Parts: sequence; C-alpha cells; structure tokens
Amino acid sequence: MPEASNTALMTFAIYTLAVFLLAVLANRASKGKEFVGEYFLGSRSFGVWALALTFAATNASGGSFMGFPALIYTHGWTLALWIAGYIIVPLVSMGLMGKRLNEVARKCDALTIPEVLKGRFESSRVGLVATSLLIFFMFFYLVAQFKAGGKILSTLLANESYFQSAVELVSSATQNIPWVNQAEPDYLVCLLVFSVAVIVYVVYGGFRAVVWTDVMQGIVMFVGVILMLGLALWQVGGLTNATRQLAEMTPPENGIGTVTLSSPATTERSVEKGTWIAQTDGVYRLAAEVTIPAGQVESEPVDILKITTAEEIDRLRREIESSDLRLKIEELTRYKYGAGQKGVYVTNPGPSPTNQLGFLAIGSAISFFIFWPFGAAGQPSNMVRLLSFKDTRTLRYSIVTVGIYYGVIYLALVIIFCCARVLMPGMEIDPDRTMPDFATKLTVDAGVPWLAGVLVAAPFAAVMSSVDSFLLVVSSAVVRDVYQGEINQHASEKRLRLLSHLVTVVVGLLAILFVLNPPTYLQDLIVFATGGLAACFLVPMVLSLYWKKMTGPAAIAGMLGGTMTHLGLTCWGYLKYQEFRAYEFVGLNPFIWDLAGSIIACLVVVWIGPKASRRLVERFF
Amino acid sequence: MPTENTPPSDPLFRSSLRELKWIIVIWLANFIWVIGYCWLFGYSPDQPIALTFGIPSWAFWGIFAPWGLATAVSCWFALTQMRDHPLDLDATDKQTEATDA
Repeated sequence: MPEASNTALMTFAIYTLAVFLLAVLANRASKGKEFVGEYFLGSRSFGVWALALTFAATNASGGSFMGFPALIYTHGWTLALWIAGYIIVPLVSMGLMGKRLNEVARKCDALTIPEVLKGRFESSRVGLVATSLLIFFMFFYLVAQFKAGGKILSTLLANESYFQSAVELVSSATQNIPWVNQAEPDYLVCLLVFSVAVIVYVVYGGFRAVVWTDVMQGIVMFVGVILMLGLALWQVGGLTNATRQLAEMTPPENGIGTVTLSSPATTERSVEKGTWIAQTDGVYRLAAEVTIPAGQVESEPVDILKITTAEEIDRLRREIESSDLRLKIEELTRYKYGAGQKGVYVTNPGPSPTNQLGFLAIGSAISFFIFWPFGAAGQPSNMVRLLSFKDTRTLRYSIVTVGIYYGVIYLALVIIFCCARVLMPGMEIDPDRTMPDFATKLTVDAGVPWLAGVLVAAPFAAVMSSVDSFLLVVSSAVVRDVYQGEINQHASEKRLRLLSHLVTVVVGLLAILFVLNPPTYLQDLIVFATGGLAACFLVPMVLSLYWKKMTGPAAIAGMLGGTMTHLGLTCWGYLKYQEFRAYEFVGLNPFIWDLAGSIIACLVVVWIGPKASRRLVERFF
Repeated sequence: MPTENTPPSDPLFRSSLRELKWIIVIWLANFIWVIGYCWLFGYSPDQPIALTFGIPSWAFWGIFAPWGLATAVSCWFALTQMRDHPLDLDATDKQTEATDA
C-alpha cells in the first residue's frame, strides 16, 4: 500500500519535527533556571494538562497500542475484564501518594525517587540500594521500549522507497562491523532513527521537553483511538452486529503444511507470508514466507492457520483469487480451550491455544485488578511525575483528566479490536501487526488512506513517550543519586550539565547496542522489570510517607524483600516452565506475593531493628 | 511535639492519610463489584449471549457501568474531598503553626 506508506513517512516527518520544535521551546523556557532541577524535574512547575497527559502517556507504553490490541484480537471480550483494573488507576496511582510524596520531596530537596528515600531517612545506604535496584530493573524496560520503537517504525516505513534505499546503504556500511552486522538492516535503520531522535530531544530539552512531547503524544493517541473507533463501528455495521458475529466465531487451528504446485516450478517461486489458500478441506493462511525451488512442486514445511468459522470461510472463499497453490496438511493443533465452541470470544475466560483453563481464569482476573492500579503506583517513572506538579489543585484536576482519558482510550480499544476480529480474519499469524494493519484497512476501505499515518502514529507516540521518561529516570539516578549524592556533592553547574547530557547519551547508546540483537524473551523482560520495580518501591515508599515507625533499615529490607521474592518466583517459574516467567503460586500474579514479601520484610525489621528517629518524625510528620 | 500517641501536626499528612484510606475503600468497592459480577455472570460460555447497547451484558454491567461510575466517583473525590495545601516550604510551616495554635 504505497499511498498509505507515503503518508506514514510524511506523518512521521511532521511528527518528528514537532517533537524537535517542542524540545527547542523547552530549552528556551529553561534558560536562567538551576540546571539539575530543571533538567530532571522541570523546576516542579507543571500544571494540570502537562501533569495529566505526561502521566497518561508514560503509562500507555507501546504495549497499550501493540500488545493489547493483539490480545483483544486473539482472546475477545475477556480483555475488558483483564484491563478492568484501570478503572481505578488514576485515583490509586496519583491520589495514594501524590500530595505527600511531593511534600516530602520538597522538604528533602529531592529530584529523584532514591533521593526521596535517602532524604526521608537521612541515609546514604537507603539511597544507594534504591538507586542500584532502580537502574537494574529500569534498564530492561528501556531496552524493550527501544526495540518496540524500532519495530513500529519499520512497520510504518516498510514499503517506502527512500527507506529501502537507506536500508541498502546502512546494510553495506555495517556488513563488516561485528555485532552490528547481525541486526536486520531495516530494523537497524529504524532503531537508529528512533533512538537518535529521542536522545537528541531529551538531551536538548530535558524533563520539560519530555513532558511537553508527552502532552502532544497523549493528544495524538487520544485522537487516533477516537477516529479508529468511529471508522471501525461504521464499517462493521454497528456494535450489536459486531458482537453477534463475534458470538458465532470459533478459534482457528494452528498447524504445519507444505505448499504444492500442480506442475514443477519453472523458476524459483516465492509465496508471501499471509497468502490465503482456499481448497475443499478448508481455508488456510501461511504464517511465513516459503519458496518452491525451480523444478520442484513442493516447499519446505511452513506454519499455517486454518479458519474454522463457517461465515468467515464462505466470505474468504468469495474473496480469495483462484491460484495453482495447494496446501498439504501435515499437522493441525486445536486450541486447548474454546476449540469449536461458539460464544467463546464474548465470554470469559476467552479462548487460549496453550492454557486448558482459558485465557483469563478468575484467579488471573483478580490478580490483574490488583496489579494494574498498585503496579502503576509503584513505578518510579510515575512517582517522579508526582514530584513535578506545582500545587495540589494541579494534582486533583489531573486525576479527573487522566480518569476520563483512560476510560475513553481503553474501553474504545476493546471495542475497536473486537470489530477487527470480525472485519480482518487470520491475524493470529502475526498478532502484533493487528494495530497497523487494521488502521490501514479502515482508512483504505473508507477512501481516506492519508489518515493511516495519523492512526499509526498513536503507538509510535506511546513508545516514544515511555522511552524518553525512562531514559531520564536512569540518567537522573546516575547523575543526581550517585555522582552528586555520593562522589562530588559540590560539583559545579557546568560539570553537572555536561555529565547529565553525557550520561543520557551513554545510557541511550548502551540501550541501542544491547537491543541490536534483542533476545527473544524481551517481552518477558518487560513483565519482569515492571513487576520488579513495583515490588521493590511501592511498599517502602508508602510506609515511608505514612508510617512514623518506619526506618531506613526497614526501607532497605522492604526493597530487598520485594526484589528477592520477585527473583525467587522468576527462578521457580523458569525451573518449572523452562520459560522466563515468574511462577504463579496458587494461581495468583507474582506481584501479590512480591508485595507480601516486601511488607513482611519491612514489618520484621521495624519490629526487631532500631527505632525511628524522633527528629525525623518531627521533621516529616 | 508529635509522637506515636499524639495526633500528627502536619495538616497535609493528616489529609493525605485520610484520603489514602478512602481511596483504598473506593478500590475495594470497585473490586467487589467488577470481580463479583463478572465471576457470577461472565463465566458462562454455554449460555446464549445477552447484549446491552451491543456490549455483552456481563461486560456492560460488570465493567463499563462500574468504569463510568468509578470515573465519576474519582472526579467527585478529587474535586470535592481532596484538600488543597500549600506545597512551598514557608507556606507549609505557617499553615502548620496556625493549625497547632
């Protein structure tokens, strides 16, 4: 779809220019202000829209616009229950600690989360433990988001001729560079473009630029979702029609087959990934590209998908152009839950190819209702935003704004991608492409292909707004907590400025190098990092803010207790499943056990350890 | 002088603690409604599907309706129940002295 691709390139170019413009404006606005406070926290001066949209955009990472749509498409309406914990995310993640955290941070003159803990207990040891754990977990998250940025951009630009020329150029330039030459050239180009853009605007504009671009990105996401909702409902013929059709659907079957020809191929014959083949025993889709060598009639075995819904089969038979391709089925595997069962996409627990209990057993639903709000509250990237608002009125109005924003975005996404299931069959072969492909289909079918760029910019904006925030959190931990806090407390402003820029660039470059050849379990690392950060920081921070008996050693114990429980369950899970995922003891999300570990560790040390300093209690309570 | 047995003197701390308790109560009410309703009415794939405004009824009454209500309650709570306090340190000290007096 070259027209849509050109539009995507234009959109990306305009979007990037706007981001740089905001960075320039942010840089101008920061003139004359104390550097470190401005670079890492925007001088604590943000109002309602800035706080609300930076909070919303940072939370809605690439997962919300790539992974979540893929899950809705694959498992149906049960994802509404899966995401239901977001009902209360704004109130819990902002209201639970917002005012108090901001107040304590001001009393300590703290710009980072480790610095708040350090100042609250006047203990360098607490600060160092917090900094170490934050950098450890945050780096995994940063790496994963860089990868997502590169991938989304390569999806956007795949068919663009300028892009293909750049890919060839970079490919030839890097073919002799070890490690770099192992990366796919198109991914490498996109990763470099994405990373350089983010690093440049973060270094140039600091926290203020990050927040201002978050505001723009939040608006792009909101507008993109609303437009998609309207187009999807219009093209599917209304929500009632979509849900009734969805209720008649049955899950597909996954399998392996070989593509065959009636006569030997005269030249090498390539068959594209996603090609449909209709034959008497069913309708199939290829999950990978295959080649039939010249003189042969059969390809190597390839992954396939078999459609099982009668209405979809009839529709596809009418749409698929006849060809000489045939498929020889070698193996077909039914879903472990929901195979051949109508209604499974509109009820819980939702179909699952791998789990006999379905996608969302009630224990998992309970776990996610706890994880979303409290997991969000425990993320340092969210907490640091609560240090930046200028007054408590800003916090109150931001809770209202984010509440409405999330309600619209997430419920709309569920409806949009339930419609996608009806309108666009066979995306199980590559679920992560559901969002960009559906955006393109909606706009092309509606005769407005130029709109695809705006819609696909939404996930790109989501990833960018997360990456910039995490980049700054890691940099601030190194510069403020380690260098200024422990090595050189009287460093000059000029030196801090140079070091802050240098660390941001180095952290970004390290992330790029690490993600050139990303490990296959990167998505699992995101889950590991998110859960680990919340397990590590939530309980110690809440108790530090609200409990007078809380002590520094107890805060360290809480951080280590949560972290060790998290690592322990992850190791247990690895031994049990041979996969990089935490063990779900009695069917509950590991986060709940992590919190329990953290709370117990805090309470034990408060009980048996030294008492809280009366001076600190008087200062902070 | 604040100790464990005397009321705290920082008004922002007091109001934040009160708000924290209410936020936990609001979360718990949502938890009971959403999980309870969906568990009772949303886990029956063999039943014929009932729709409300085109949405499966279990999802409408178990998720969309409480989501709307929770958003309204969040707005009400943030706008009317959360108290404003000065955050700059000089103003905080003055307010604390006034409250203690």
